[in-house]
Amino acid sequence: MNRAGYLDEFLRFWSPRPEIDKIWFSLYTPQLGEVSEERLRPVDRERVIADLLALRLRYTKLKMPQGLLEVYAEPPKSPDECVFARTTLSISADLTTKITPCQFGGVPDCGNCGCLASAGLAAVARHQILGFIPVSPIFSGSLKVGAQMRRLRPIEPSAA
Amino acid sequence: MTISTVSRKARSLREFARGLVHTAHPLLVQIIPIRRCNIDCGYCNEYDKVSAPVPVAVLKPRIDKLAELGTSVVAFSGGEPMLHPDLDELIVTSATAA
Repeated sequence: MNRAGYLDEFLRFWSPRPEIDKIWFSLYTPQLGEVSEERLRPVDRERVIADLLALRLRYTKLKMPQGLLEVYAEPPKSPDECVFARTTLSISADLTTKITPCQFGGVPDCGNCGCLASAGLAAVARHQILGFIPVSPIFSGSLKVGAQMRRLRPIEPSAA
Repeated sequence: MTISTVSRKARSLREFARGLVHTAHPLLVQIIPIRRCNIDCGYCNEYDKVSAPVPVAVLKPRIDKLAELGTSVVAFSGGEPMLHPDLDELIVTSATAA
């Protein structure tokens, strides 16, 4: 993504193909303090977001709404603020080890999060129904109700 | 609503109905056409830096077999599937195999 024109080139290749319905892009999500070639510098990230905002108007198969791309510019600050992290459970291949605090594990650099699912759900959470009812408190309320209901449920015996 | 959206929804409905009446076919199959990946995500161990792409000649008969079994969804994973030089051909094969 650091090469100028790469996204346009990618979309020009894949968009005309009849078997392609939708195109999405995630961005690389580094760990805190990570210095690597994969990591987008702030200037690169800004350019990628600007490119995607422009390209979505030219390529109809690029299904990335403006609200979602705006979340890439200002992602949730921590897993506690991330709807996707709060509503999903990631388990490693041994089927017992939980991956926390989100699917990336370790100490993800949330300020540079490029997770499409996180951005999509954050865009929904930031949406206001009818222009004035925020969705985020509905999510939070639903999670609290779910947590209470789980406490009331009898504990199932372990299969092991 | 565009023709492609209608077509996609019709296909979803058909697959849903087929899933109800015919329960013996694979629902989702993941194909790993290449194990190599060009990035190095801290949370992932499903890659290496050296593997060659699986040749199309090897994968095509497997995709045909999945079609014969009535597979609903074929997903290409990796490694980084975009590094496979013939990924577009594999997608066409999967989309048209029936």
